[in-house]
Amino acid sequence: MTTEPNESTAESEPTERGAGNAVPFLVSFLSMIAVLVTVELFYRDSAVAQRLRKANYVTAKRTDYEMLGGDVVWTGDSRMYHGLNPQVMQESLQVATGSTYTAFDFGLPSGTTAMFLATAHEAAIHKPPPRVFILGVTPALFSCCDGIDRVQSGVRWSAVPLFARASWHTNVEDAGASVFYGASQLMGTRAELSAAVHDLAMPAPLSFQNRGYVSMGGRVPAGVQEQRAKGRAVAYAELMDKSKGIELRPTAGRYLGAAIEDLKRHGVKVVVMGTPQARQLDWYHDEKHTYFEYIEEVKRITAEHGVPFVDMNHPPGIESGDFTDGDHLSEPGTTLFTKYVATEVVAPLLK
Amino acid sequence: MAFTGYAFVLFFFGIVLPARWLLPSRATSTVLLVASVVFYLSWGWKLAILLAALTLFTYGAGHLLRTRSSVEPSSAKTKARRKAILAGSIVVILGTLATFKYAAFFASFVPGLHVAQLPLPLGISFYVFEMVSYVVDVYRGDRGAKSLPEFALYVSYFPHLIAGPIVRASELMPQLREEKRFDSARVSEGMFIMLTGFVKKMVIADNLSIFADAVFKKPETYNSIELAVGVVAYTGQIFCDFSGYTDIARGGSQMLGFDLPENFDYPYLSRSITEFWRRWHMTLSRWLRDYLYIPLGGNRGSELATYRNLFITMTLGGLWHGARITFVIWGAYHGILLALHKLFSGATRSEGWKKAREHIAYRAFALASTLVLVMIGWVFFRAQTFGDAIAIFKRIYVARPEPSWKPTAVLDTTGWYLAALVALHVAGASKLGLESQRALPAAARGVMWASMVLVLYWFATTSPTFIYFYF
Repeated sequence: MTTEPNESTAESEPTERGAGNAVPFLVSFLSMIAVLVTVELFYRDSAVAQRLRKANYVTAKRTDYEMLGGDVVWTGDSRMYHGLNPQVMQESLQVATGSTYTAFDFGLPSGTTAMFLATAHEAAIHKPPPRVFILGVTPALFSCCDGIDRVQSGVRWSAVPLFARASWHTNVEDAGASVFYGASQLMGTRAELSAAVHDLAMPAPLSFQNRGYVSMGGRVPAGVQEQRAKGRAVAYAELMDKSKGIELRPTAGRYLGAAIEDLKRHGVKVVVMGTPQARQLDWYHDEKHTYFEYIEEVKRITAEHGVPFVDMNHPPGIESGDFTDGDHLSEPGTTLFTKYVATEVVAPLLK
Repeated sequence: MAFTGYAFVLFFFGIVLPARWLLPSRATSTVLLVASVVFYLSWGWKLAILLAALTLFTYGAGHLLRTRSSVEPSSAKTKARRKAILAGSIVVILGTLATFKYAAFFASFVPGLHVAQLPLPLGISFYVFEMVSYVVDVYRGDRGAKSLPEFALYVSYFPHLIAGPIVRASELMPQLREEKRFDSARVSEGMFIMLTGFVKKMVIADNLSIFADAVFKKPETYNSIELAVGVVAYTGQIFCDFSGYTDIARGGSQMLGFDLPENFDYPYLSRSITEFWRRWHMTLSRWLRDYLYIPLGGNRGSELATYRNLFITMTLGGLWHGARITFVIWGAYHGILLALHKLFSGATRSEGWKKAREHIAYRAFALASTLVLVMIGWVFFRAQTFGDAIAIFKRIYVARPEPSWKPTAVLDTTGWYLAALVALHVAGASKLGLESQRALPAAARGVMWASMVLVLYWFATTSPTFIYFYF
């Protein structure tokens, strides 16, 4: 109902209206903020918040990384998560350079470039920061998933300017959301907290085999790999199908650029790497899908920020049989790929 | 920048509100105009160009109408020129709306003609109506805007820009000219109205939409009970979605010191379809009455002419919602109901009927029957095609649940949100919330706001848009 002015000011006449007194409103507003801040502070130190942090890939890996650190760190989606083995990387670098380096796997299942920015920032602010950081990129990421929504609890307050600067003119909602996620863990963990309350159960904590890595296991029979790969190819192609109006999302690229800049600012050498995939996925490398636009976009971003782009879509010596499906390397495949990346990509940068 | 996004919260509470009250009052219009431009630009610069062009055109038309009337106002030549300017400007303004919104729709009725559907500029249906009302009002003698920036602010004022309420220049412009001082009580009340809007939209509407959307998407997979609940859920969703938007707009504007007209007065408590239209989307009803129904002749002619005018007005009102035959049917349906109610009211003026209307059983029946008629209308409104709507009605009648059927979890949840909808109507109609807000001391009021924010935290689902953004 429209409120008549004389009704609404009944409590305040004559002081508030006449004098333009803002005090009652400010008292109310600050009381609201005080209640919300109190709830936030209670939550931050609660066992619930700690448990939820361990159940989220970004925050769980952050905890491990804060303890372990790494000279060579990588992030990316599940292709990177299961595709490079830190143990093998360390051994291969020892052989290739004669020196000892540590590695850490910051790969994230269903990772997006917004998540890569969050992890890149973790590395950038770590003392000491890594010497080399690999950002793994996958074609569909640039046309399907540019939102901040999957990294809510992983946004640190110090990363807010990076998120906001990257997104404010292409996705203003993300820019605004980053401020709230960075400021409030209650906001950041809202999805997990609601799910836990709804299910009346806390999610299981995540654990990793070594330095953030988890193996996909041994090779699978060729028929199984083929069948799985075709299923994934269809799913990826859907995310890149131009006939359905799908196009590259500019914010995805801007998050990648922000990650590169943040790392460079902290003296880290950055490599952007196209992630490996089985050959069954190649059929969407055509004009009907956004694949070539993706390649051009990554080339443009890396050129703009002065870092190399190494496309490992089809790395030498890796065949479809080395994958468990279309895009996840089996453990033997991971060993082969890690050795190659260590020798050909990382070692030259460390030297 | 949607009202329900974090970006808007920062924009409004972090920038616009402090700037509005901390800067000298002579800067108010500039602050609000810049804020409105930024707000609209956040949706895309191409949309802003169209809005700017139409704003310029309409202001120019209004200016011409005003200057013409000052030179020999009573001469036949002047009158004819003013009429021509008015007609020309309405053709251009409504023509722009028609091009973007209806060209493809009407072309589809012409065999062999294909016109691509243009993307609909955000808020065009609303700001075009405001522009039409502006030129008509200036033609009728209103003074209009003093300057282009003032007119631009009236049209683009961000609280009402995207989805109303449809405001008249004579309602907003005098307020913009007035020097205002910070009034804690009114700003606090605006805050409460705004928070209520967030709760309506994000908690009730968006949660109801989960089941309603599923039912309307695949009605063939639901039984009659589920379909009926789906229709009720949509009835609640559309009210909370749109009135929630309006509350955010009105509350925000009140915090900035300017009143926007009310758009909803708990319409589901209406006891006739005529009353429903006095309480639903009131600013649209008012616009249709003043700029379409009355110029058509209103109720000044024969009874038949009145029914015809009602029918035409409501059918065009339906078409305003979108270029789809189901909207036209929905509008025509309401036109027929209004005509029937008028006929019924005319035939039941006796003392006996007057007494009967006061009886609680009559009132309950009137309320329930009005609600059912409104819900039937919503099925046409929500369905993509006429066939879909009919299929839903058919299935409600024939798709009896299996003996082993049990309500699903989502149906249960929908029931809770429908209960919240009823509670909202009870509390809202009795002004329980506003009265509590006024009665509480300042600090306790803040605690109440915080509890509303926490309700949002726990129960809100995130939908990036509002139903009326598409109209």
